[in-house]
Amino acid sequence: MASRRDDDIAPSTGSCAAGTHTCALADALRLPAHQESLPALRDLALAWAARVGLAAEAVQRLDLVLEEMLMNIFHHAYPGELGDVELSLVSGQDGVSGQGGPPGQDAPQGRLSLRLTDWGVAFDPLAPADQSLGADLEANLEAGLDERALGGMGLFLLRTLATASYVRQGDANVLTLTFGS
Amino acid sequence: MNCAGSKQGAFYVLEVTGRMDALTSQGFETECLGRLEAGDTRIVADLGGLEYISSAGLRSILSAAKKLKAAGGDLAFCGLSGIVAEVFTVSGFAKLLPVFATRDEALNRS
Repeated sequence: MASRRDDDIAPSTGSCAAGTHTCALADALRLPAHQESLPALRDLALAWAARVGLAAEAVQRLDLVLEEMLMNIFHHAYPGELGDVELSLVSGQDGVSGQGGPPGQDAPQGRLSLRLTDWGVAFDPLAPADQSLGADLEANLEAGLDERALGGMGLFLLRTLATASYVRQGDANVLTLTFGS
Repeated sequence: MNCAGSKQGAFYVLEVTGRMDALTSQGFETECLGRLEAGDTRIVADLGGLEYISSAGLRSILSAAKKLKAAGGDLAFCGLSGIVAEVFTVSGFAKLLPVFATRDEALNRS
């Protein structure tokens, strides 16, 4: 990505750090849906967050919800086989700052939308809890220590800490997550 | 995630630092069960240096707390801030488990 501002050009010795406008970041990354892919996907999402100037609290929520949803895909999307997961930047409202606006209006927008796609078992993480799984999340919140179930918290954190939407597109699960104001 | 521990009166204090995520958090339960085997049933986890916790971390904490309780002990927390405090609140853990603002409060309860 070319810099638009003279004072924005990084020195040739500078590192390709997140947050600089001179460094082209990939806007999508597709990897095998297993735990070893987590660090690379996380790094890319955090680099996008830095580029749009996402507030620290929103970055922490992004970090958390991304891990929860990726772990869910890793463990449940492809029973008995290995498929892929793709993390992509949602353009249009993603705040790839500095493109197209007049000078002085390229301040970070503080908002990031991203998309997680897998081609596994159809699953809507935003659907009401499936009673047959014993995953009545809200009731579990009130349970005592002895009764409290160990699972189900990842989906609850998603619903609580992110603005999310889900759609089944053909044979793909597509989850869109938005962070920041 | 890293755990450093020391005996303080009736309690064993675990200072947990770093990230309790899917890749690391099992270590917390392992640490607590190690103390349980060594005879410490009352553990205070100081999370002042913890930067991040996911549901994998909550699972590890809940499992350890159940086992300590079954042994007649307990697992308390102090020093929560930022996303760690937020996750404890929204998950109900702040009501489910003893949480104190400071380590002194956690150690000086009756």
